[in-house]
Amino acid sequence: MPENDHLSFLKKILLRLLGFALTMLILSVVAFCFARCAPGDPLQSFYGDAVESMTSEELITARTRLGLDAPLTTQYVRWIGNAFQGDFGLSLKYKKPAMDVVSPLIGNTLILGLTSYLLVFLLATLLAVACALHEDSFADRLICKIGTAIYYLPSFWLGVVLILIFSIHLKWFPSSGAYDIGRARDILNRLRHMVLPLVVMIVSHLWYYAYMIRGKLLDELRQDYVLLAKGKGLTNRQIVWKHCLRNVAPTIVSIMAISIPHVLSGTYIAEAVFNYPGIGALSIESAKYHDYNLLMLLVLITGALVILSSMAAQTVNEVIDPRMKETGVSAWQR
Amino acid sequence: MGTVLEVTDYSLSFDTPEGEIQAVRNVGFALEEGEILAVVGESGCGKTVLCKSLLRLLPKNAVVKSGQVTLCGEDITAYSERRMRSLRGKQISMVFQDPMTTLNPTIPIGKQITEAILKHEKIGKQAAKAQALELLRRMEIDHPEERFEMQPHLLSGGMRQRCVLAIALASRPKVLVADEPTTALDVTVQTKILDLILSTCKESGIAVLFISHDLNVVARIADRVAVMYAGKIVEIGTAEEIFYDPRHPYTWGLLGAQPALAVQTKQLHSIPGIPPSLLNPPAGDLFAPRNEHALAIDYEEMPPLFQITPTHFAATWLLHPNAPSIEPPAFLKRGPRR
Repeated sequence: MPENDHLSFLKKILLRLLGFALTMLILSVVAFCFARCAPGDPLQSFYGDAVESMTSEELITARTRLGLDAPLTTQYVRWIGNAFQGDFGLSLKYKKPAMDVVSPLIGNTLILGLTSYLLVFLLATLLAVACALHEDSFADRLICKIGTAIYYLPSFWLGVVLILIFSIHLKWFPSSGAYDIGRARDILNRLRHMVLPLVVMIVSHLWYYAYMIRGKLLDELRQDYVLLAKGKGLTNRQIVWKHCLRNVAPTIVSIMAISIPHVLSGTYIAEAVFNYPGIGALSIESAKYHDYNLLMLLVLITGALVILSSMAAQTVNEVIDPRMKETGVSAWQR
Repeated sequence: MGTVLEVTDYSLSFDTPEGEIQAVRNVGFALEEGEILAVVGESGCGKTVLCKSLLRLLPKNAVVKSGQVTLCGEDITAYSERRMRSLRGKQISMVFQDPMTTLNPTIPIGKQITEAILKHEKIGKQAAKAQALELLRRMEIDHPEERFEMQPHLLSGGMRQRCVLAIALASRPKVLVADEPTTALDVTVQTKILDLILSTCKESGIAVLFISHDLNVVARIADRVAVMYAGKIVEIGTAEEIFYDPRHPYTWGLLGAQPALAVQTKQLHSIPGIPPSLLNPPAGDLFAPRNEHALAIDYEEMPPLFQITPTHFAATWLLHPNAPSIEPPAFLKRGPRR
């Protein structure tokens, strides 16, 4: 039996890896085609204003040199061949390997994204539990109303207002950057730079998830097992924390997994508003300047993050609720 | 034998936007140690509401309008939620209808049982586990050590109901409220669970309030039977009295509607009409519109409980000295089996 388990586990891992590879491949094709369909000229970003004074012959040579003249399929095959060798091409705008452009910034984004991601879900769960415990009380209704109102504040506007109040008037927090020059390793300094972007991220995502979790908890509180737990003499608090939250956990984990792109896109806006050097701001820029190679790399990184996180969510769910284990049989066939 | 649970003139209503729903109306009964009292009646007659209100498990809009609940000599009617919590599981516990949904699907059953033990007893986790295993053994679950770690979905319905029973009995309560504990189960499993409830409760002197609409189940288990209609107890007596000498026309109807009788008479009796709405009920006996023996006074005044024997009471005007004498239906005419 255990040996059999072992084999099926290996098989499962292999299947998932295969699925991952396939998805990434499809993603790369789609992103490749879409980027090239967009109107605009990549030469503009490579040569800047110099393009306007170039002759058509010079333009053709430039295109050939950058490999932009070949048919789309040839371009793609060339690109993916290089990508497999770890070469993601030159960034047209920065004129250095795309990898070198991205690697120093990815850490900044991950720190900001991960912190806000964890904080959003931690606070959302706490808020949801507080609301569910006092369902339909004055406090619950007030929180629901305020939460909804705040959720609809545009985050770019909130960012600007925060800068105005806390950076310009009160001078408590810096208005831009990830750290002061030469203090990249100073954690406190980084934290000070992260406070305002974090506030924007949390405010713009918190209620959406808190409300979702609150609804799930309230559904759960109406289940029969809650009555049995109450019949044991457990307090409402114990029931919510020990029973309901555990049963809602798979849902929260699933929401967390599919929300990664959502929160990540939030970092993009926060990065843009606060001029925070990260791959979010870089992605927007690369799309704007037709920086194909850089864009492809960023899309692949983001895609890999999203797919890996949903795979991780599936694994975590199986641990929490063994009924979710894949049996190879769909619910309709059972 | 002492009285462990006494309910007197107990009324409970739900406040709803449409008005007051009188779910339980002037109910009174007493439960002795080790006694099994069955409450029977149609769906919606207030059986479950009565049970849940004893443990105060009802939503906030349920309001006690009158009466008292006395548990082990203490009037618990006005107990705070906090004090009720210390009673639940310890003095009074409840088994629910559907064992498929009353256990938490994600928590191993062992943990759900020890949770109930640890709530009321100051003992270590190991001791609690030992107690839980003992409980599972008493509930006749084989391989309790293995089952202890299992999630409910791996167990059968009967097995789950045994676990629910183990949870309910974990802290040796004085009163067990069983709300149709066998309705959701297979017939063969039903009898096993019934026998289990019967034997454990008789052994440990636990009083049981047993809710059911299945008269066969009631006949097997109950010492006394209360018949409930529209939130009221219309007849109460020993099982013998209710089954062999019923006096209320509603009880006649219930007994007559048993499929087993239809086998003999080739005709399935039913009680005409539907149960009344308990939203602003009219004056008089609520059963009158469905009662072929209804008297004029039935539509005007609620009948009091007439005493027939020291243990047998029925609320019907037919028992009034001035009432015409009405014979119970023929199929009920069989003397008590000795």
